[in-house]
Formats: sequence, C-alpha cells, structure tokens
Amino acid sequence: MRKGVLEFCILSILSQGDHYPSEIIGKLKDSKLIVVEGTLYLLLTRLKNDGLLSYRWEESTSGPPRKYYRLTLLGEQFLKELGATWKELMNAVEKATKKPN
Amino acid sequence: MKKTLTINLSGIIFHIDEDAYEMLGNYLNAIRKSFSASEGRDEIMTDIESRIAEMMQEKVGQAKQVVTIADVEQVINTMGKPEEFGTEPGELGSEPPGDLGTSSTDSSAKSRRRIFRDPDDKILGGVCSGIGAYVDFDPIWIRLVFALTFFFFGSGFLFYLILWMVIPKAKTSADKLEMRGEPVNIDNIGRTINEEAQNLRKKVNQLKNEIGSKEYKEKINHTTNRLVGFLAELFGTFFRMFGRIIAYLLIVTGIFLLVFLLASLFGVYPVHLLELGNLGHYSIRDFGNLIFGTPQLMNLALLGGSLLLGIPILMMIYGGFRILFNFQPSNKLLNLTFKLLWVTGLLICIYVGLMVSRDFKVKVKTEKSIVLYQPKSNILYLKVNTKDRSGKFLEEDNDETGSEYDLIRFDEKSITLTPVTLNIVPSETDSFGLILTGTARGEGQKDAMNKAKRIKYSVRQFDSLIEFDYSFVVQSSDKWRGQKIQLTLEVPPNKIVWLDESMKYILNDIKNSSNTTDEEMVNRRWMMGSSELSCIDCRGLDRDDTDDHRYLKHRRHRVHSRSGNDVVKINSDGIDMEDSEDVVKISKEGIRIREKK
Repeated sequence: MRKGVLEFCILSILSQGDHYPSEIIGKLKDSKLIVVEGTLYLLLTRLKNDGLLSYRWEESTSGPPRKYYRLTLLGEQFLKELGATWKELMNAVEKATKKPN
Repeated sequence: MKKTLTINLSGIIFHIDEDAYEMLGNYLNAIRKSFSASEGRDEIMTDIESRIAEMMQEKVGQAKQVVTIADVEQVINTMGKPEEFGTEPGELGSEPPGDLGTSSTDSSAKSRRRIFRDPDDKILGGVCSGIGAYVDFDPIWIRLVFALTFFFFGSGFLFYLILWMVIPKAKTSADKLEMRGEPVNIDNIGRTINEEAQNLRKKVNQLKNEIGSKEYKEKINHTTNRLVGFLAELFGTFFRMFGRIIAYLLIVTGIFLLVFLLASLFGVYPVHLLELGNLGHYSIRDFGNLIFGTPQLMNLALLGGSLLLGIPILMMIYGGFRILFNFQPSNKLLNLTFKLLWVTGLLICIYVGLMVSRDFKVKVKTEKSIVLYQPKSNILYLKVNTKDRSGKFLEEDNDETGSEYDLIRFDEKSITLTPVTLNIVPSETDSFGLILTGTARGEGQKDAMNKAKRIKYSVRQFDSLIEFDYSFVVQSSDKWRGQKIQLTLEVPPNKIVWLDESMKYILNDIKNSSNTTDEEMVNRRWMMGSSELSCIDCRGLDRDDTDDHRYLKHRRHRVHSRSGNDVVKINSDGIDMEDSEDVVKISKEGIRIREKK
C-alpha cells in the first residue's frame, strides 16, 4: 500500500518542478514517508521505464553530476488518475471508519 | 594503522580503508543481486553509486581524507538494505481476515454483496467473473455455460450482451469489495489498494495506449449516457479480437504458403496446390528443365522466384506476429532488407525472363505433304490413337470432367507434347491429301527450323482408316519451345469422312454447314460440299436435340382405344392388345400371348 502512495508522492513532488533524487529524499524524509533511500532509486527507475518520468543530467559544483527528473505528459495524466483514486480511497476510508459506532 | 585503497565512485576518487572497502563492495553486490537486468538494474546501480558518492563526499572534508568503515555503515543505513527496498513484503503484516469483519457479520456482509462486472479479470466484458464473484463460484464454469449456450441460436451471446449493458463495472475499490461481498473496512481497502499497486505496471501500459485517445476518453467519462461507453467498449473488444483473428490467419496462411513454396522449389516430388489441367507428376525442377536453356539459368530463376514470392510471405508472417505481440513500429533494418531482397528477386526474374524470351524469339513453321492412299469407296475413316507412345490410354470414360490425360510427359531423352490439331478443308484436286505443319520457336531462324524439323509425329493409314497420334515427341535437348503440330486434311467434293469418337481430341473448329460443334461432329459421316462439310447421317437431329430428348418424346406417346371387346393400350409399360378371344402383351420381358376363356 505504501508503495502506491510513495509513487503518488514522488509524482506530486515532481509536478511542482524538476528535482534530483537527494531533494526528493529530503522532502519525503520530512514527511516520514520513506525509511531507506534505496527504495527511491528503485521507484524512480521503474517510473522512468514506464515512461512517466524523464531526466536530464546537470553538472554539480559539489559532487557527481545530478539526474534531474521531470514528469512526462503521460506522468501528468497518470498523476491525475492517481489523485482521483486517492480521493476515492479517502472517501472510502472515511465511510468505513465512521461505520462502527 | 590501516591500509587504504583508492576507488572511483561515479567519477569521484575516494581513499577508503580496506575493511570499509570490503563492506561497501559486499553491499553493492547484494543490491546488484537483488534486481534482475530487466528491472533496469544497471541504471539503479549507477544512481545508487552516485548517491553514495555524494554522501561520502559530504563526510570527507579537508581534515578527514579517508572513508572509514563507520562512514560506510552510515551510508548503508541511510540507503537501506536491498531487502528493505521492495516495500511489498510484510508491509501491512498478513492480516487475518476475521480481524474486523468477524464471523457474525459475515452473513450481513454477504447480504450487502452487489453485482458488478470485474474489470481486472475479464475476457470480454467481465460479466462472467462478476457473476462468479457474486455467487462465489469459479468464473470459468460460468464462462463455459455461456460459451455452450452460444450454440443455442446464440442466445447465450445475446444474454451476455444484455448483461454487459445492464451490470455496472466495478470501478472503485469499494465496488470491488462489495462485488466480492467483503466488508468495506480499512484493512480490506488497504489490501485492495495494495493489489492495485501491484497492477501499476499494467495500468501504466493501458494508459499509454489510451493517452492517444485522451479527448475521446474524456468525452465518455463526462457523458451520462452509459450506452455510448458500452458500445465503445464493445467495439474496442471486438476490434482487438478481430485483429487477433487476422493475425492468426496471416501467420497460419503464411507458414502454409512458405512450406508449400519451399517444398515445391526444393522438393523432388511435385506439390499440387491447385490442379491446372493434368500436368502429371513432375516437380518444378522437371518443368524448369523443359524451359530453361541451362541449369544455371534455372537455378537463377528458382532463386529469383523464391525471393519474389517468399519475401511477401515472410512479411505476412512477420506482420501477423507484430499484430499479435504488439511489436514496436517495425524494424527499419529488417524492412530495408526485405525490400532490397524483393527488388533483387524482381530483377533476377526480369533478367531470367529476358534470357528465356530470347530462346523464343523466332517462330518457324515447316510444312510437309503426306501422300494418302486413296480408298476405293468414297469414304475415309478417321480416328485418334488413344494409346500413345508410352502405352498410356487417353481415358475416354472421363468425358464429363474433361479429357483426363497428361498434357505433357517426359523422360531423360524425349518430351511428349501436345497439342495436335486437325482441320478439314475441301481439296482442290479429286483426291484426299494431308498436310502436316510443325511449329517451333528458337533463338534464330536456323535454330527454330531445326527444332521444328526434329518433331516426331506419326500418322498411319490402314486401307480407308487413318489413325492420328494424339501427341508428338521432341528431343530433350530441344526443350519446350512452343512446338505444335497442325494437320490439314483435304477432302475432295462429294467424298465422305467418318469421324470416330476419339477425334474430339484433335478436331479444331471444323467448318460445316450445320454449324455443329467439334464435340458433336464425332460418330457421324460428313460429306464435303463446295466449301464445307455437311452431315449426312444427322437426319432428324436438331443440334440441341440429343438422343435422350428424342427418346423422352416417344415415351410420351400413349394410346388407349377401345371398341367393343377390342382394346389397344400403348404406354411406358409396353403394348397391350386384346379382343374377345386373346390377349397379347409386349413389354420389356418379352411377348406374352394368352387365350381368353
């Protein structure tokens, strides 16, 4: 379950602008959504292979060149769908948690 | 004191303690092993390495120059162990199903079960799997029942379409839970979402296909008319199935044609896909030998032919697989190769055609008069030797299906060929005469002439009977060069020819006064007039009135007359006659005479 949510979060973060992995990790860590960083690399690669993300290389002053990820058109479309699913899930959860009283 | 090593991580040089190096190496190997190449292992590895380099760079500063084991440990902790990467296992724990929805609520849960079409498990519209979920039954049996009822005038199919239209699709997770009759609670929703997350890749692929028709899809989503959506889904499904059927057809036909092509090109035995006359039992190579001047030319022709025919067949098979497996836009290199090969085949065929046509350039006829013995009576009997040189009979029994004889027959030395044709014309003298014209083609006048002269054909005369051969023979080395034999029989006026049944094989549009066709001219006598033949034993015979017709006409005659005791009856049974004393009966059984008492 968390993986779907993580993907949703990654796509959402990228929809606000291009980011490189460390930045994304920072944001996710702030919201305590991610435990280990390796997960992110796995997900990013997967999303990129599915055509939801694209990236460009950018030189960095303080280390190896960075991969800046951005959403593709397909990614935007998919994010919309995920958003809809998420809302639906929230509604469903609300409905379900209200019941036993 | 520790030994240090120098490593290159993502293009940055680090000094690292030996033990730290080993630890890092093991860690990276472990990650590498946990992915398969198809998941994009190499890419993930480079990303992770570059992140590690970044982290280590933060740790190594001006003062501290060496990466220690503590640093590596820290890096590993942040990055996580490979088994922690994948988030699926043990994520929510394996929740026992009775945790929240207890057994007592089970019945109430069931009563809340609703029917939906299951979009995750569908063959057409997901109706059967939906019903299966509703009645808690393996959908395969329900599908089977639908498939069987399809044979009852398609009633099952109609019923299915109606259900497809009426039953809503399970769109949301809650829908899906209700479909299965599971209580809608957090655990279950979590599980469903988890399942959906696993289907992510699948969904993404679907989305890729659909994004092209984005506007169209939005239209459907917004329209309240569900019928439109239903029809779109229906047509989509049928279109996909139709495509599949076409793909299978392409592949199967292609493979069949390919096998046929290879077998007929390289096989020793002939392969008849369709029977063009009776060409006997020879392979393509045998026939090639008849036409192509040299074996080299024949091999070239076979090569050209296989390319010209084989390439389209291969493309057909390839196309079928492309539809079936949804390949990426066709491989350019492959396409180019196909095109080049095909054009090569075409060029070879054109070249071979030119070479062969050279051998057919000149047409020469040789004429030879044959002196006939003049029969004492004024009649000449004509027949065809139905036993040809190889002793094979022309099968006369098969008149209806056309004459069943080999058009061509050959061995190492000679080729037996047809056609032989005969025309009958008035003679300018008062004696019978026969002119034999042999035709052949060749590279030049001399070549063609020699080939025409080498045609062996025989006509035999026994008193007033002339027997023609049905075919002629040429030498193998002469090849087939359009050879033919045309016979012209000259008949003096007022003299008669009788045409045997077998003459139908060679008669060629004989001019006659009654415009009788060649096939009907046989078995009759014909007398030569001033310019054409006329039939002398066709009396009472209209051209359309065959024997059968006349017989039927006679059968219709019926007589039944009676005067006093005398009765005469004529009908299909025979003739009955009686008077006061005797009865006479004539029938198929014979004649019976009986006295009355």
